[in-house]
Amino acid sequence: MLRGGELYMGKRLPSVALARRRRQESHVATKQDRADVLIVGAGASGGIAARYLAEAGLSVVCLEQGRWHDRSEFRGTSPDWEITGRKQWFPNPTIRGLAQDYPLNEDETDIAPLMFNGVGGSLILYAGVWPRMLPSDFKVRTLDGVADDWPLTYEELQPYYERTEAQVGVSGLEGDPAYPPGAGPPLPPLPLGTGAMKIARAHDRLGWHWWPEPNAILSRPYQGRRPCVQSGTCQQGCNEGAKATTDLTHWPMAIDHGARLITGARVRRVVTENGLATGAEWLDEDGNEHFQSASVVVLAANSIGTARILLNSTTSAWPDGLANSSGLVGRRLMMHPFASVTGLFDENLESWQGQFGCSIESFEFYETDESRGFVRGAKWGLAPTGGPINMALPARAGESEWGPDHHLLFRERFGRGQSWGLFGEDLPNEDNRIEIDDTLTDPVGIPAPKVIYKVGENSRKLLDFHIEKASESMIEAGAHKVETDSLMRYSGWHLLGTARMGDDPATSVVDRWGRSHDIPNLYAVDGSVFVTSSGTNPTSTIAALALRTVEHMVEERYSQEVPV
Amino acid sequence: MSDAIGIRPSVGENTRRALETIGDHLIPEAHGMPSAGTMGVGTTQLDVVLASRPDLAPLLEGALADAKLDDIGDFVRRLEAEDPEAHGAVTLAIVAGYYMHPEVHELIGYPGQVPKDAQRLGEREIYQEGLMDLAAKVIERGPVYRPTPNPDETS
Repeated sequence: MLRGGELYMGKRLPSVALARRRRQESHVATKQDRADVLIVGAGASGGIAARYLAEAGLSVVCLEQGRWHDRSEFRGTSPDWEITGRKQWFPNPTIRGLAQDYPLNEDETDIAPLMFNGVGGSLILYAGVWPRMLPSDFKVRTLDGVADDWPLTYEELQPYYERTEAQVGVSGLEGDPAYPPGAGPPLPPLPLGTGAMKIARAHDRLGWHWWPEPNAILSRPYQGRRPCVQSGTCQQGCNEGAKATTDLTHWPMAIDHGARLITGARVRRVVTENGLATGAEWLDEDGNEHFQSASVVVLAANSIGTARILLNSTTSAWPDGLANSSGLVGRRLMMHPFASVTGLFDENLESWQGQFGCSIESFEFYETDESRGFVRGAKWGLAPTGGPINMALPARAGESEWGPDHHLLFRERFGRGQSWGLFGEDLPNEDNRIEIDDTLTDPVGIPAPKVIYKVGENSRKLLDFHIEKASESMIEAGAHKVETDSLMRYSGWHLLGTARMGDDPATSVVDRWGRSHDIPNLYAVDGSVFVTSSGTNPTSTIAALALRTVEHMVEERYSQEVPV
Repeated sequence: MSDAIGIRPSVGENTRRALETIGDHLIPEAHGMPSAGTMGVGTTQLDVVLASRPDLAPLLEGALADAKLDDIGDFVRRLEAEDPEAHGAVTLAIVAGYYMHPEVHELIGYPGQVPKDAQRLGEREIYQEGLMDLAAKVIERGPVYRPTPNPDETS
């Protein structure tokens, strides 16, 4: 909901659009008509689905438990950006504790999940890094004998990567030899900066792969949005609108085509009748109950939220959770164990600035080499190291020093660091899962999720190896000191795998088109459908899969089974 | 910001004095830099911090209102061991108050998160000297992805 003003995308809303928005909001309490498609969640996949479906002429309603955020709310232009980023704008909902969030029981997880609830979803606070998965990521069982193959290939998804990259405005450099040939990003790369160039030259000497990172952050004006100004505050919300978030890139178009987005709407359960979904029960901010009827229900609430809704939607026919004949709803949660390797250099690199976002990436050690003692690998992404408060506190890979030498340590670190973030592929494990907590509920009484997740032995070996190699990278680049953080707790950005896709209903929740094997008019389009995690930032793949799913849905709409 | 999380920022004089004392212990005057106490981490800068982070107030008050600071180092070590959340609040309030002070910014050469004029992201900034030559050498080394089995079999 747009509160306190009528600015949208940096400009005053046209009166027609404003009137439409107000009609939508007043419409909520009085009219509960049946939509062609009900989407739960207005983040990355929900926004992409809504825009495509609405542009295709379908009536779309979306229920989002958060609200609209105006860019003026983001703290990146304020001196307090670092301290509000540790609370009100922190990506973990338990620490953030905002009214729009739901609580998580995190007592039994090695990694704390990160997310954001609002129009645009977790994109509001993500870094904007937008690499595709690699071809081998789709064939892990065939190539490496572990986990499972996806029921689709890189080649099948490639056109959808290209189309979604154009929609969000990806900046990057064409020709990365880590990928098969194809269309490159629509915009030139963001500036690498002095630090990244030092490391690129080091990789050149080592003969190691590196490439400018593709980011969903504009290097040029694009489709009415302004380009990046290198403020380095991407993860506190982008004040410029240069970072792609679906509240900017998809929802305005969806709404212009008639999609109805209801904010402050918490979905309690998907309702079924005669084996089909008929809609969803939801509660507004005051706890009033509503029912939204729909011909098709699409879950886009992230891997935890989608599993939570399905597990909360029990009936006598589905005592273990809706669409759960496989028993895999909530299971195979993957969160990408993360490590960082920070190199400190003699010269001032102004490493509080730049996209945050990554400047360069490396896939040098991405593929399996059995001699290393583990399978699969990690993608590296190079980022700046942050502002003065971040560098003065004993956080991430930094050591602490108090007393007179605090000033010397600070001087050594501030502005002089570059940090490799290492995302290790997280192999699926059915014991890593989402359950419904016995007692914890959200503010309107909907049972909350419990996260049960242990980092596997393969992941630990993988990270140890990659930390060693990333340290070599930093030393070759001239770092006089290397600081490492081997496993960061607050790193669970990438929530994947709790409703995996597959061809076999016995071993998967949804089919290759994101459709439930059990409930033929129920779909999932978020990261829950991932079969394996890859070692890449997943948003680009979530986006491509969402577009592919809804395009197929429209193509097959006349054969879609719906409630009478 | 205080309305956002519903807590009014307020700490007493004892807590303010304790923060100043601990601040001077953790960040003393040295190497050309002023101490945390002289930069107001218990006074004006504390107010700046609490205006944005009112949630810190009860943690600070709980940890410091009745603090005995005969041995400051021992107090800080015990606080860290026995109440990590309160210790985190104390160190954050001191560090944030100190490093948000304009005089400290000047001394450490930090201009803030200054937006660069979009026009400055021209060809010279994007295609830095040597970038395309280096990228060409990556391409020359050949593909690094693993080809996968015949896509037609599964698509």
